[in-house]
Amino acid sequence: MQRFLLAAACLLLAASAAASGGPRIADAWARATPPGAATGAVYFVLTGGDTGDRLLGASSPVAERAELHATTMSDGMMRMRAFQDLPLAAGETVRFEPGGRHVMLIGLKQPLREGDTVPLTLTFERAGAIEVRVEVRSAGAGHGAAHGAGHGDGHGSGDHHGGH
Amino acid sequence: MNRQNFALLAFALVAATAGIAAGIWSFRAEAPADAGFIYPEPRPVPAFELVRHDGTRFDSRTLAGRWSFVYFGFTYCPDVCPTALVDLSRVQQSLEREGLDRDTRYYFVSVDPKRDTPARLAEYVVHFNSRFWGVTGDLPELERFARAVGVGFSYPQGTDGDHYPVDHTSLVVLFGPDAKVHAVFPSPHRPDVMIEGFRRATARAAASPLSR
Repeated sequence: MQRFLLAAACLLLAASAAASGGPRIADAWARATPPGAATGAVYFVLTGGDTGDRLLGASSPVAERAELHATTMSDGMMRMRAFQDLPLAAGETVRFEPGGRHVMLIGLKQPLREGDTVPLTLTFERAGAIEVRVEVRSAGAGHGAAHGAGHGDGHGSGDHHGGH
Repeated sequence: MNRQNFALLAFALVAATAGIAAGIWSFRAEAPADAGFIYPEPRPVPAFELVRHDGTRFDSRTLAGRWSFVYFGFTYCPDVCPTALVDLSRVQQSLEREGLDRDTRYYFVSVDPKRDTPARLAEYVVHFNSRFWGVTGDLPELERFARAVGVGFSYPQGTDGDHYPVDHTSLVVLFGPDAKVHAVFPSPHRPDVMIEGFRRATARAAASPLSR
């Protein structure tokens, strides 16, 4: 048993030495945005590093600005509010996911296209700026969804009966 | 009417009211069942007039004669509305695979008519599914239609500029061929829940001697 514990301790030490020690961001993704959309949302899983830290903000070259936002429900209504910062304890996992926290991209300079990877910089109080690659995923795969640029799919509805 | 009949009638009325109140209360208090909330009696909506993204009229006559899913949101919304529209698109694809989708319509009604013009909506909705329609119109008409189906919305930071948020009830409403509300699906709008609700609502309507 002691040997096992020793081996486990060594592994852990090695693993933590290999890691940078700072916060880690995994599975960063965003949905593809419609043409002309002004906003987008980025989601990811954030895990605190060896010491506590605080997420202060975000930025991306694809948008005029980025803010930390959370969707909450109040009085039966969904509301989206910016929050200033997010304390992150050592080793704590915080999920940014649909219906909850997200980085809101405001003033998109270009649509987010399925298959693209866009850069996002997260700024932490202690760890500083960490750049993340955000994978853009489909917003409507399958029949009926308009894909790609330049397709003539944007003709509105598939059925055009006379009148109503 | 003699006293005994009166007493029976009064009792029946009180029991019915209590039953309805309990039904409404349980709807408020619990998470929706695995089929959303199907109204015991389909609810009519008052007259309203809005416009679809191609400029055509959207009113009760548009809803009549077919089943329609209606979601209320706005295009500036980065998180809630795209998520709901992706889920609604999955519903459309599932129903189509099962051949249940022939005449069904899907509407995205904007609670932000200032920014969401028909042209804006046209390019937005088709991104999620080319079968989707966008709807917008005058604010008083929108308020009347939304309120009738239990959807509230507000502009907590006003409507100046282009970057204001809109708070809104996130709700998918299922209208039947009678242009009445048959079911509602609150967040999180799970596709499997909406599909099951659609199945039950359509089956009930088909079985009802009053359905048309």
